Amino acid sequence: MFSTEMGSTADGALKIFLRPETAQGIFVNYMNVQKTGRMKIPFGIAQIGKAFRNEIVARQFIFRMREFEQMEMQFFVKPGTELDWFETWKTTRMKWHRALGFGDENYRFHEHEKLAHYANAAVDVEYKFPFGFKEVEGIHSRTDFDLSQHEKFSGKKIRYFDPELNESYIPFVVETSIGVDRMFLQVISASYCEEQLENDMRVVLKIPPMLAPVKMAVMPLIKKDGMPEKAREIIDNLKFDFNCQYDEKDSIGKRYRRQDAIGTPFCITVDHQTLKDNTVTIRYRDTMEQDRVAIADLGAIIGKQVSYKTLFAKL
Amino acid sequence: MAQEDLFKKLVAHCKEYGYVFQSSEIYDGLGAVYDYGQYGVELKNNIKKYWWDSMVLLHENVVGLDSAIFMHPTIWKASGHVDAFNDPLIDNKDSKKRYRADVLIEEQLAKIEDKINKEVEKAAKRFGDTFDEKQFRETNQRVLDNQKKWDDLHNRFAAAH
Repeated sequence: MFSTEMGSTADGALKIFLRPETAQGIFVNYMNVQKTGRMKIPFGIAQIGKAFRNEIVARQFIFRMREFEQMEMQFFVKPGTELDWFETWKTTRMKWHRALGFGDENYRFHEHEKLAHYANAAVDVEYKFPFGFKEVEGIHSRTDFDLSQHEKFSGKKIRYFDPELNESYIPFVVETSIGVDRMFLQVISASYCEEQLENDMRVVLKIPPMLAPVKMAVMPLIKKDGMPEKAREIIDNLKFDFNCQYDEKDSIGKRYRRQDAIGTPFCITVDHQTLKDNTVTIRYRDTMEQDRVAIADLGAIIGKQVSYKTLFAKL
Repeated sequence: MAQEDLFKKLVAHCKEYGYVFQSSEIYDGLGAVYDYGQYGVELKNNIKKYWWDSMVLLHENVVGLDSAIFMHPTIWKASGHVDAFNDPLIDNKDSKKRYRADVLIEEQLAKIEDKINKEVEKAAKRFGDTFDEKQFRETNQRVLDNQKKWDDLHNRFAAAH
């Protein structure tokens, strides 16, 4: 663990650590959240945040970093029900990954035979990276280990009063823990394509539209006749809804390649006809096909494609 | 495309198109630390939103939290991250004694070393002034056998550590 000092050294500084996991921040706030949120078991607390580990073997790009980001959810359940919840979250989390459409065959579960001292069941979700199947997420049944330990070390009661049973207990915990950076690498690995075209090659990031950094690029066919102004007008109308980019430099072909390389799902071209009838061409990244559509319809067409709802519908 | 080549291309693409940069690059970088560029940060935020909304919006019994990175140091004792807690432990069910695996291995390595040293001492006495310790260590069968045991164990230990 990384450590540093808090307070001045003169009057005895306190040695503190940079957290190696976000989970403990959830456990020590369990009572606060349960009471103030009037939460009833079963319930979960989700957190995204940085964590730090002084890795001895740190390699494979962003797969194993010394500073990384975790997305963890600790789910508090009645003792004895934890293995059922473990199965439920296993299924839920696998669906979340597969909804992205990177191919079901590229995922697998890896059951832990050797369990950590705090767990009574553990499984990894593995994704097939270019360097092989590797863990992106862990699902662990952590028992009451953490809350019991904090009860012991803090001297404070960490219990849940179950109104149905009319008794108090220390809840059991099922954890889902995923690395943001590994997820990032999963998306990039799955999206990177080199495609041979008729007399050209293109590199394209086929990132699911809802995750793509730039949703739409707007390009005037030429830098005159009022086309740049029209393109700006389209962006001004849609920039609060989507991340838009304006590009007028180089040929249209080159501009498409640039957008392909950063994974922009839609390219909008303003041409002579636009100035007459307020229609534009919309070019789709993955198929490279083009349609002529009304400017007024752009918001709805793109909005539908980039909405997380399409993903959530598969969960 | 070979998978290794593909990975190299991915890394190069991430850098060339503003997704991921090596940390402190103009100072020759910092080991295993990376920065997210102008497109990387957008993708990362979108991934986080996908996760966050799927947890907090889709489950009415899941709520969010943002706790500080700095926490009371005793928390790491309770969690088992500091003190010997994190090291593998071995229980002797007969004697009810508990041992740390790394300590046991280190003791065993020390024992073998002692045996070798005793062998060398004995020989030094026997041969007197003509004793060549280096040659003895390289040729005496008992020393070689023990040295091999030590090397094997040490290698396994180093690999597991």
